[in-house]
Amino acid sequence: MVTARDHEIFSCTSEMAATCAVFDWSTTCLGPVDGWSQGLQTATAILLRSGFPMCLSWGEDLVLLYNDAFIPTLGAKHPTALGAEIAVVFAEIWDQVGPLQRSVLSGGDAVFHEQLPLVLERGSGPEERFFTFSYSHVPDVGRGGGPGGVLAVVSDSTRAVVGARRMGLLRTLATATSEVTDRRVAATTSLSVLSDASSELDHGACYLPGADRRLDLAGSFGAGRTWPESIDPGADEAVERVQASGRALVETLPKTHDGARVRVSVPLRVGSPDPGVLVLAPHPLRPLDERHHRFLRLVADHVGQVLAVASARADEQTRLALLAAADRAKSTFLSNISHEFRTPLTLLLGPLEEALGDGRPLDPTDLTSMHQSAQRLLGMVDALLAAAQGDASPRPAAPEAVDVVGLSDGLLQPFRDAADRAGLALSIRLDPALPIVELDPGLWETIVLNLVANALKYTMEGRVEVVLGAHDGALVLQVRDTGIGIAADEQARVFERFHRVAGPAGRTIEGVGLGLALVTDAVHAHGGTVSLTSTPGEGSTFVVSLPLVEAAASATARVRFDAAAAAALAGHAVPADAVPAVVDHDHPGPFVVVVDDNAGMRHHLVRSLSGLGHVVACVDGVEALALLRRRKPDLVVTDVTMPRLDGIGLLREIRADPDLAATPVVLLSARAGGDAATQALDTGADDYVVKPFTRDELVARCRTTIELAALRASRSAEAARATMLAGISHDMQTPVSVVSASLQMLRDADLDAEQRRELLRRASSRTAQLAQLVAQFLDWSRLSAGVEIAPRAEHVHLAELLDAVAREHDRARLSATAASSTRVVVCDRARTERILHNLLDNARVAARERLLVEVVELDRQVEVHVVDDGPGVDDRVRPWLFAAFGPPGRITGTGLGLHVSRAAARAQGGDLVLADTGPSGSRFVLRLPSAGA
Amino acid sequence: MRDVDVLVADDDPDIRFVVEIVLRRRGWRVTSAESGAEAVAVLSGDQAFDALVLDQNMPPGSGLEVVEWLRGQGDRTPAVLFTGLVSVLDLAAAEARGVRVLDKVAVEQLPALLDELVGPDGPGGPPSP
Repeated sequence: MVTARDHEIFSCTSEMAATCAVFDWSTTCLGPVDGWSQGLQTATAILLRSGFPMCLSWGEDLVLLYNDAFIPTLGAKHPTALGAEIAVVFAEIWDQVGPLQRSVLSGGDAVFHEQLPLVLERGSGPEERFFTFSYSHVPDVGRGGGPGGVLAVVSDSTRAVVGARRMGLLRTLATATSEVTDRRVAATTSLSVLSDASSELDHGACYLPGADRRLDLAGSFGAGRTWPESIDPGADEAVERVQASGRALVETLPKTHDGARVRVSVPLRVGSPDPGVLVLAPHPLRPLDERHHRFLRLVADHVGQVLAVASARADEQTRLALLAAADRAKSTFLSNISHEFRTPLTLLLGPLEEALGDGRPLDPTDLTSMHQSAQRLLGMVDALLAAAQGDASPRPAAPEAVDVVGLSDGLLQPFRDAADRAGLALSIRLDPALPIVELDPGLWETIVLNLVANALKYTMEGRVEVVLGAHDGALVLQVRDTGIGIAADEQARVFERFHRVAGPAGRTIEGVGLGLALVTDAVHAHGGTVSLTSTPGEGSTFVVSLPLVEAAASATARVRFDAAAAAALAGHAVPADAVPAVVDHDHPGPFVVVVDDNAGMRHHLVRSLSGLGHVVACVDGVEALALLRRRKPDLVVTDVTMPRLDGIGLLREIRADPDLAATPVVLLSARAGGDAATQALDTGADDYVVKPFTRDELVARCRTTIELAALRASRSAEAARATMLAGISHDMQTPVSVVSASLQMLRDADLDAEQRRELLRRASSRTAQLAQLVAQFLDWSRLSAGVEIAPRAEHVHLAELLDAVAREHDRARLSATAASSTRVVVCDRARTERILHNLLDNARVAARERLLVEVVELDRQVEVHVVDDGPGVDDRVRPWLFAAFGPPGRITGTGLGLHVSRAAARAQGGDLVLADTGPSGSRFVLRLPSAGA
Repeated sequence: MRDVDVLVADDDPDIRFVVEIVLRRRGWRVTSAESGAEAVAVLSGDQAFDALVLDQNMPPGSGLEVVEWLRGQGDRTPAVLFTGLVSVLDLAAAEARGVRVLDKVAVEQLPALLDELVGPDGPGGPPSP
């Protein structure tokens, strides 16, 4: 008998051939090899010699034979799988592949599947693998009757499939985060990409280095887990190991029915000294082999890179923003500097150039102002130098023995006057018990002068307190004020160089913003501290604390200081001479108003322009506007930068007021350059003069401006006159034609009595109308020639007057109060009638149905109200209602009525106003003085 | 002499009164309107007119607007336009529309002007239907 060992089938060199050769096949349904059918023998021979993974399941029981290449697919099931029933060997996938095998076995078509996922058990837990395989039927050739078997040719595509998925994930990580410039966003975006790859990763979290070397949770994915918000590596051994070793750490997780089996913590290099940690739990069906480890490290590398790049980009943006801010600050500073220098320069150059030109000696008053200006320039230059030096190498303190009380007292003298001028109480309490101390007197001067000057500058009313004393071994200076205060978000910044707080200014807005920065430098040079508390609207307190070092008893103490510097600072904190402007009405020549917040400049302007006419000075736009409304000027010359209302603001107010709109305005500014000039001219300035300017230049340009304005005025006056005359003749035509035609017919025609009566009545009424028009025109002529209307003062019974007037207007009704009033008024009867006719004519045109005359009796006056229910006065027309010619484009009527009526009403001691107007009507009120008490 | 029908439109009641007297004395029939809009309403009705006397300024509407409307209908009824605003009016445009312009203060010249337009014994230029 031929044993299996010797059988030709098994005579090839493979492990399975050898195993099959010694296998006791009689223990299986196949029986001994001798009894095998031809088909089985051939199939087995092919199987054992093939290098491609194959297995053969034979017979009704589907007994399994397989080759070497198939062994990996079995894993731990080899070698006991040989000769066993395939349904048992692959029990875990039998419900998927079993039906396929059975169908092939019973003669069905061959089966082919590509990358079919199957969860196999190969001895280390379930794994998902992807198989590309074919099942084909092997007939039971040579025996007949048996079902034969199924040949499976199998290729494990798992590596390709999972590999492709992993590559896809890494690619998505890169593209999803390519534009991110924020680390947080980078972390959450990355985690969301990882979350989408749920077939590969079950859950995970990202920890980034935070404060105190802790790791903070930046995000997580995968539901149903809680992660600590922050980990202390010192306390967490696993994390510490990951960070220190730079290698991944694998933990086995407690078994849950659906949970991951392992968790891997990988170091995350994000460009900071300490790495973060990326924790990933792979999908339970992916075994953690070397490839998998490499993949997880790649994921961590990618995520780390994304985070590092995002951080770098964010830093870059911050840097750019800071550079831009610094650039802007520099430009603002340079602009301010230029501006601050120009005013004192004008005050120096002006008088000097005059003196050089005229050959006359300088005026003594000019000398004082020039000296002050020069001091101011010097002060600014010193401050700038100190600031520049402070930036480069902070000046160290050079302490001397100083009588700090005496020195401070002397420094504060000019501030007493300044406080008086400002109407503030200045309280100075210097502790006389303070000893002679070691102090740098120059730096001390800087500290005291700047803090007190600021306090005065920014306090409009109330008090400033200066307290100097010793406290716990420190020399403490407190400067407290009841001023405008500093907002919380500005308090840190006020000590910065060149920082000026935006918002309500102090008494003057001169200054470049160095004061407090210099104070800070001086304080720090002594090793001291400066602090600020402030409440906007209530006040501020600055506290300087320096180490108190007593000087040696024998040292001579210094009290000398620079009085001029102190005086200059005090003078600029509270500008001198806020004397209100006095207007001389009898002065001949043009009335010129100059506006500037700098006292020296005001003086200079008044003197320079005194040759033009009567010149009056104001300190700012608000004061100027009030003055302009009392008396119309022929010229306004104004600085641009002033507190409360600046030059541009003043110009706008002037142009918006119909009474003042045509006033010539010249702007003086320290801002040179086309843009500033264009803006000024666009806003309506007549001219724009840049500081420094000479007296001659200023005078010439002002004179030209006045002349041009006069020319424009006379042209527009002529145009207005022409329009007015056209209007007058138009208004007169209808009455004239009625009167003329009536008279002619009365003379020529044969008319009946009724017709004659009617003609006469109408002709009389229109004649009266003509008389009124003429009288109105005469009054207007007086007004425009500057002659006052001189009304008569007659005692007139009001009710009777109203009745007489109302009769002539058929729709007008008197109210009960009007009809029954017993008041007597003092007025010019004819003019008052004209005013009332004017109001009633207007009302009749406007009214829909109602035209009512009411009377309101007051103490010393009586009000006559003319009320209509018309559509009201249009908003655009309203500002022009009482003006002489009304808005442009008006062609009907003279436009004079209300203008003359109001002037007449005022001339007789009353007024005429539009009390109310709207879509349901208008109410005009004529006020008349009442006779008697 | 046949009946002559005249439409007088003016916003001033005294002007209407005076013109009515002047025209009725000659036996002409006068219909009045107070505004341009009212004049158009009357002219849209059944009555035909031999002449029109129109103020320029009589809101709503104006004398010229009435004439424009009428001429747009192909109606060539002669019209006299009373106006004080001769400078504003385009005289040429008025003449082109068969409109005669009369200064308002010269009311007494109106009858002679209308005679010229209408004809002393009957219609001069017949209105086309």
